[in-house]
Amino acid sequence: MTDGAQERDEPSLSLGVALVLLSGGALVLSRGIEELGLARKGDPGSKAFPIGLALALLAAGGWLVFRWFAERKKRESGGAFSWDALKDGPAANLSAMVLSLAAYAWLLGPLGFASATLVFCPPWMKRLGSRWWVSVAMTVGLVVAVEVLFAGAFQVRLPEGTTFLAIDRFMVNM
Amino acid sequence: MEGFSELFSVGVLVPWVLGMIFGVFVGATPGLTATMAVALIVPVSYRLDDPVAGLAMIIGVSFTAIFAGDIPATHLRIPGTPASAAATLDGHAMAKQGRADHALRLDLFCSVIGGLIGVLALMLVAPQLAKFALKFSNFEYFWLGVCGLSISAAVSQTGALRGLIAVGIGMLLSTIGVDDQGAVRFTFGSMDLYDGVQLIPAMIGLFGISEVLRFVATGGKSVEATEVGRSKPESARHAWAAIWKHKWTAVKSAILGTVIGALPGAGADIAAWGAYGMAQKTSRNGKRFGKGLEEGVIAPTSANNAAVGGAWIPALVFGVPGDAVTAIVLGAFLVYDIVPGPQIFERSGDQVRAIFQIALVTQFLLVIAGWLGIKAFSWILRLPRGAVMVAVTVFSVVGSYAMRDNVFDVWTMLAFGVAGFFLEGRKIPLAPLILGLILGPMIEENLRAGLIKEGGSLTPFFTRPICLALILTLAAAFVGRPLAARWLRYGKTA
Repeated sequence: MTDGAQERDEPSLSLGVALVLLSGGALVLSRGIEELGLARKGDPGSKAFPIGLALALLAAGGWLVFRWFAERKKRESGGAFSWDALKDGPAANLSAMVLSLAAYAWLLGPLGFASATLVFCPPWMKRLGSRWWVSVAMTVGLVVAVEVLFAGAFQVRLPEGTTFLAIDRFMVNM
Repeated sequence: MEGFSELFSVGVLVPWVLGMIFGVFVGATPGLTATMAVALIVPVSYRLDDPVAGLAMIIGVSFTAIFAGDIPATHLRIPGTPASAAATLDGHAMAKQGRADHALRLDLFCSVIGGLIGVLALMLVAPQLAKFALKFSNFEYFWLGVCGLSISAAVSQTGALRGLIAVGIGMLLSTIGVDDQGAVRFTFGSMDLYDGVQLIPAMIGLFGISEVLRFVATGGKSVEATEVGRSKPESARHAWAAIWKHKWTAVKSAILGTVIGALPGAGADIAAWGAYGMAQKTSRNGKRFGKGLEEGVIAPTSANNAAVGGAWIPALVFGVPGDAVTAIVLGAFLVYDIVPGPQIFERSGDQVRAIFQIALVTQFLLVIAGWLGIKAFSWILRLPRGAVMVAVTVFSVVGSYAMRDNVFDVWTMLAFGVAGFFLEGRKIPLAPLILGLILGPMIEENLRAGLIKEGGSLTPFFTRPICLALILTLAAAFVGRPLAARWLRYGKTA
């Protein structure tokens, strides 16, 4: 539970900009929503609700941006964890994690679950404090546990990897 | 569902107990949360052949993880879940006096008492409320949804504006997909978005991946804590004697916890602080709170587990979840074709009876699972935290994928994870966002249906008696907030 009246009123530029972009995008895209011509008397249609919400968020985002500029002189730095307070190390770690998560999700298709996990996990476990051999052993254990639980017990078809399937097919045709 | 006997078949009991052990593990691990525990268990439970086993797993985890959060709060002064924050006061003070085992036994037994009172209230109140709710039409459901979201925003710890922003984002995202009139909105041409944002991957991302990112961004400092020394051995009888001595504190806190839990957005954390504040004000030892007093342990822990049962009352009867954990459970119920609403007792009577029975029996199983958690805590603490976080990432990916065997859901989960991390960094609460995502369609559909019925007139939305009562409740939530905040602050600091 966080507490603090000071934190509560602190405007955030990044949040304001994000809200403006999100709601602006929604407003632009809502122009493409097709009303199906089934509208009856009194029906506000399919566009009205998202447009109303987007306008409210645009106003909130605009207000945060305005307040950030209006109060920037008297603002003090510091406080608890915040995006802006991240130093080089954590910021680099964070960017690397986000990129490797995206790479992991992308690799699930061509490499399959097991191989993609073996590529993703050990370097991260090592980077977050485990030894190499522990990281590899834990990853193998994790892959086996997931395969047994999801693929074995629950019949989930985990991604098998198109690359390996193609190699299999090539070997069979040879 | 035949009755209690079916619950004790191997096919139900094994996943149930395994789920509860998982709940203990996640709840007791600093940095992991009860919400994350429930979000990660849903895809597993969904794959079980017996739906009763799946429900047992989800319900077992939701109660166990809330209790387990008290374990690191007591030993390390770091709450395992937000609902355990109040346990860092007297619980940790007792641990420093070498009485951690005693504090945790109080926690465990009072969690059981609180949980039982919450579930009994659910069983008694929900069917009556459902009969009353049959009088509701589109106008009332519109305001019910608005009330649920607004109250969740109003009680948000980082301020009502941020709560409302979270609600707005959630509602805007809820418009993605094909609406009830067949219009396609914000799908970018992707068939995967026609059904809208998938709730479970979104929740796994918001509560699982965002926590992993926070851990990485802070270099693990988000879960740093100080451990206290070894605990003196004390018997369970000693704990029961203390609970008997303060039985009214336990009962009053559990009742308050149930009521607060039933308020949308309030949840177990606010219930715990509210009960702590009430116990402090009504106790003759009020000034000694925070220094290792048994009442200071009994009150919040009785309330937080009671709040879980309380939160299910509006969730089952109206489809309005009380907090993020209940929102996930509600999403899971939908997966099991249990559609919340006043007719739930007619349409899904067997499943609802099963839910009640599971929730009751879970309280007794909690004694075993909780005891194991207390004993296993030093082992949990020895696990490399970084490796645990990477494992959470893998389970988040697999859990999201497993819902529909679809990689698109993994991308959804990652997008919500990054968004959740960004928003939490900006102090935007995530629970109202999830509630907005769930309640957005209910609000829009009832608004449109109400307007069509009345030829575009808004008058009935403001003149029908139940609508007026809901509007007054809404106003009270915002006007009463400063008073409640003062009450809670006094409870924490005085």
